[in-house]
Amino acid sequence: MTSRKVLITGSFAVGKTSLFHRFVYNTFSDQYLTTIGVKVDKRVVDVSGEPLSLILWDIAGEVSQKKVPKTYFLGASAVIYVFDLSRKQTADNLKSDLKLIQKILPGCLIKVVGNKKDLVSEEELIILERTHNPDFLTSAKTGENVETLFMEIASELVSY
Amino acid sequence: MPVSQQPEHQSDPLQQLRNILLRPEQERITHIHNILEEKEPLAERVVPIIEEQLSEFEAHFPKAYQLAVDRLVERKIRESQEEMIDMLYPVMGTMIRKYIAQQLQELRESVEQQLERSFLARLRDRFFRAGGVREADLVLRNAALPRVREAYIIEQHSGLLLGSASTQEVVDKELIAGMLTAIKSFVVDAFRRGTTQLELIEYAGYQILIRDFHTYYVALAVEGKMTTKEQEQLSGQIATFVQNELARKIRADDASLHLHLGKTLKEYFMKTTPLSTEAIQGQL
Repeated sequence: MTSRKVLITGSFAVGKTSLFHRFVYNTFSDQYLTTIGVKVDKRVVDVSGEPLSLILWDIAGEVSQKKVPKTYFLGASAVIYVFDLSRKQTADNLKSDLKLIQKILPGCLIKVVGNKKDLVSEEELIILERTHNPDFLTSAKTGENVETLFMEIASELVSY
Repeated sequence: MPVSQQPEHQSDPLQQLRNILLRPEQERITHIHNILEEKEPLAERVVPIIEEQLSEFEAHFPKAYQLAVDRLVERKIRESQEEMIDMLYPVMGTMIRKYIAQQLQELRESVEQQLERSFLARLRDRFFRAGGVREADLVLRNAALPRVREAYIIEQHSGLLLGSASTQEVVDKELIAGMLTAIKSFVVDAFRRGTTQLELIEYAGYQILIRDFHTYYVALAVEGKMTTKEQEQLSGQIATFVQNELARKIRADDASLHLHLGKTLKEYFMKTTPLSTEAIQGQL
């Protein structure tokens, strides 16, 4: 079976772990996030009849990605960069963070996700979409778009 | 000057006589008085005496006051036992644990060495050769030896599993590979020791031996405590395995590679319980 490493990163309290829990069965304790700054889990998905194992690395939130150990990024096939739609400041470092990730992982698949969609109004969403241009708008609380996000990544990784 | 106006001591012949006779004594008294009144001359004379007394006190303190100090400490310990235990326990506990572990390790290594050298070992070998091996000896010896329970070959950085074998039920092996890689990355990043890698993880009765290669690493979970010699022996076996079985371009999504590695890992590290069989055969 083919396996791919997928990283979930972003500022603190943007809902990365909630997205993670929405998609995978929780094998290890969340305490790993506070002890070594990362937690690994997996889910096997079906892409065009072929199983694909997504090994997901949930990285502890940091205001800037400069503070995340570079070694955690290495070997990743895709990166999900999450920001909180209800806290604009969590997207302040978006441009520089994406630049840094592209530098560490050239050619890597990157998806920008605006989470906590359930907390903002339609008008605010339009403005936020225009400003930050996210690939997905999700709500880990309601589960909206979470499955779609991971499945799209999975199918893109197969044809990548 | 009329006699009546002269000072009394000049007019008093007895006083005059006293002044003449006692002049040296009076001068000495004045000199002593000056020493006592002035700080510096007094310090010059007194300090050496005090220092001498202090040295004397230091030299004889344990002898003179041991009993009193002993009683004081005894009373303090009795009165605040809990506090003392709280303070000493973490230090003592760790020290004792380390000491015992080290002593056991040394004892085990020394027994191993003696067994290897001894006549008894040679005699046992003769039994072994003649088919008259003493089963009890082998069973006892094997029971105490470390055994490889799980083996993993993991891609560097990504932590993707290339192959694995296990003698027991474990959590999803891909997750173990991922978390092990995360821990390795964390250690390297946190301690910043250049190219040095994490080589051994100890947990309860297990040791995880890690050996790095360029694009992948091998991790063996060993039940029991390995001696330095056994670690070297196992490292040698890993090198042989890599040389024989991984001398080709490897890819994480190569399904045939997974199967092949699973089978060969078992053969190399589990089926023959390498740390026991080889150790015994080494004595033949």
